Amino acid sequence: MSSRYDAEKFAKDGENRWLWRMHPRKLEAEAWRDALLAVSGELDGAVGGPPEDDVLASRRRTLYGRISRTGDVFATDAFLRLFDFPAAVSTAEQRVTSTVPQQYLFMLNSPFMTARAAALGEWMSKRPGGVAEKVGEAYWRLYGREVSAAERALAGEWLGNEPGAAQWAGYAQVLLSAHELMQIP
Amino acid sequence: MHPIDEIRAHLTRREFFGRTATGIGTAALAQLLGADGLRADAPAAVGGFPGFAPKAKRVIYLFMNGGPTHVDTFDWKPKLKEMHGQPVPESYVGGKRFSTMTGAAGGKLMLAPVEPFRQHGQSGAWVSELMPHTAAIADELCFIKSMHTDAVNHAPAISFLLSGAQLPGRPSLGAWLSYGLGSETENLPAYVVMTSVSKGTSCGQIFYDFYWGSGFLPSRFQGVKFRSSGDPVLYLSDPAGVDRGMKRDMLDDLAALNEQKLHDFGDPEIAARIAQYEMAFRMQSSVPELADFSDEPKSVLDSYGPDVLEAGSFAHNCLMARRLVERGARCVQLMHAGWDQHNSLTTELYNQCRDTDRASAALVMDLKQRGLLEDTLVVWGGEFGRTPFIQGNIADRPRWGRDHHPYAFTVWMAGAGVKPGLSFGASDDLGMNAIVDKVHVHDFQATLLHLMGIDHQRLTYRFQGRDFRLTDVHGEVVRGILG
Repeated sequence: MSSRYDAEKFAKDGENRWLWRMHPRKLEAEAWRDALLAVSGELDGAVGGPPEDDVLASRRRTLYGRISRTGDVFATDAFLRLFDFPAAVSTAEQRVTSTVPQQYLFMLNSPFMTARAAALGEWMSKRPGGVAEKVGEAYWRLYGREVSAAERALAGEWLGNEPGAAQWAGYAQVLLSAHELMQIP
Repeated sequence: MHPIDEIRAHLTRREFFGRTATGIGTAALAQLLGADGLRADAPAAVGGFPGFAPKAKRVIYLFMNGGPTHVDTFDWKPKLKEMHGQPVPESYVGGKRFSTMTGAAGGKLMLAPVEPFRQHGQSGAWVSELMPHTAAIADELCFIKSMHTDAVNHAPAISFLLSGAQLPGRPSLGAWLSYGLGSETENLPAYVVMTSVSKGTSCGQIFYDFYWGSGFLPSRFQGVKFRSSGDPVLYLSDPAGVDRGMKRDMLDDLAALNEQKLHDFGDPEIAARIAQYEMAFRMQSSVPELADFSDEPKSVLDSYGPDVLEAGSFAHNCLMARRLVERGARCVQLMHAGWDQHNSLTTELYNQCRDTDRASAALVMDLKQRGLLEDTLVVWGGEFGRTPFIQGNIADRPRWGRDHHPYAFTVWMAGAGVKPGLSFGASDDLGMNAIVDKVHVHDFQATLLHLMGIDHQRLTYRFQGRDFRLTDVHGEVVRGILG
């Protein structure tokens, strides 16, 4: 079932008590980081091996990140804790969902995000066709859907006709940071 | 926020914006909305607070994790000294529950305070020589010596004090304050948390996120925890090759994309997200300015002690706290761990006091000199006290300790709305049980809210079918400490 909005149903049952749609949810940190690497074409899918103390310096799946019991020892801990991974010191019946500015500083400024954005930007720049086609392809790759007219206009404004690597990377970072990539449709 | 309220708020925004096909950048949004709107710092949806003239506009909570030993610091009991080495009288502890380390208290030996006490100031407050700087400002302080709590272990007791429930999941005091009163700054979070750990401590306490969580309140009300080493917040600087203008453009595009999704999915989480992006952008300039102490006069830096320039120290955090409230933060929660002297009363307790005593006193006086103490409340205290009887072997002085003790402990307050130079309430002659003007944790919380202009019975939030509040169904304002 999709979590897509429907004005008529929303008006009748905004709280979704009658389950006319899936309740909007967010990806957890592990899956979101994997998705970032997957769409930028960089994910290392190797199975097994030693854990990574700093998962942000790695392209392996987040599953292989090394965490500490107290959640404050490894760089991997810091990343996961920023995105609501519970400290392993006690049981957690569910994850809290936080929305705090530090998460967005990560998306805007972290070397991990800018590296993913550069890779995705380069991938886009090398796809066949004009800017519009490349953007359309990126929307399928990231969000699994057609780009809307409004979004195409926004991309055009940002990229112009002859975008350089910096424009592509900046645009890619916007796409990677958008809520839609973190959202389960 | 309750889903229905979320949806109501969302519908209002929806009607306001219409369903624009192009999406609008946040800059345009901010113009459209003036002072209110999607901003993270916009006043909370809850109305009517403060409900009466507040004495305090902001609070700095110096939370002493681990349970400071009241009988060695602020609660002077000469009889404890007289009874040193004798078994605890049954009438004081009979039928009472202690931690599993102590088990039954019967037969435990009384332990005298490790250092002498003296009276200080006009008020004649008794303070241990462990706390010389705090002693020197005793006339500014209001000691509550009759605190008591329900919990005997750290995490439940801290959670109880800060959120009103021993189990995690309720909003913390700071979250309630941000929710009820909103923010006074658009550049910094309303509720900031900083942690420090005593030097050379053997204590392995953990700062759980739920100590500053928002519980069932919207997540924007949770405390923002600053890091204790390096930059206070990670990823504050722009990456190389990206200027502020380009970042601004990216942010506007991002807002446009997210705004579109807000319309498509009706998910209020997206609105919070747009607001937090904006806050992140502003924090890139406000936080470095906040953490730069170069404009502080040497006399001020000196007053906080030699650790003040060391990021992650308690002294450093105290000065940050003053700078934060100056810039409009509503609630600053400093948590300092290590006050857990199970077997280190004659060793680590001394470091603990040295790490905190001077900076706590300096903070109060610094606020006072700036005129900020008039509407800022400073609170110093932990989650419980420590047993007046010994944990350990009385013949082994280097390993003397005291166990957790919920039945009496001391906190002090200073500033807005509280009587300075007052010792309120009392424990019995052994410091075992609060007996005069007892102040339960819920009474204490009701009083804090009262000082902020909030009737604790009115600040509620409906969740899972009932109205919750910080004080649950309890709490009496402690009128005796009000100035």
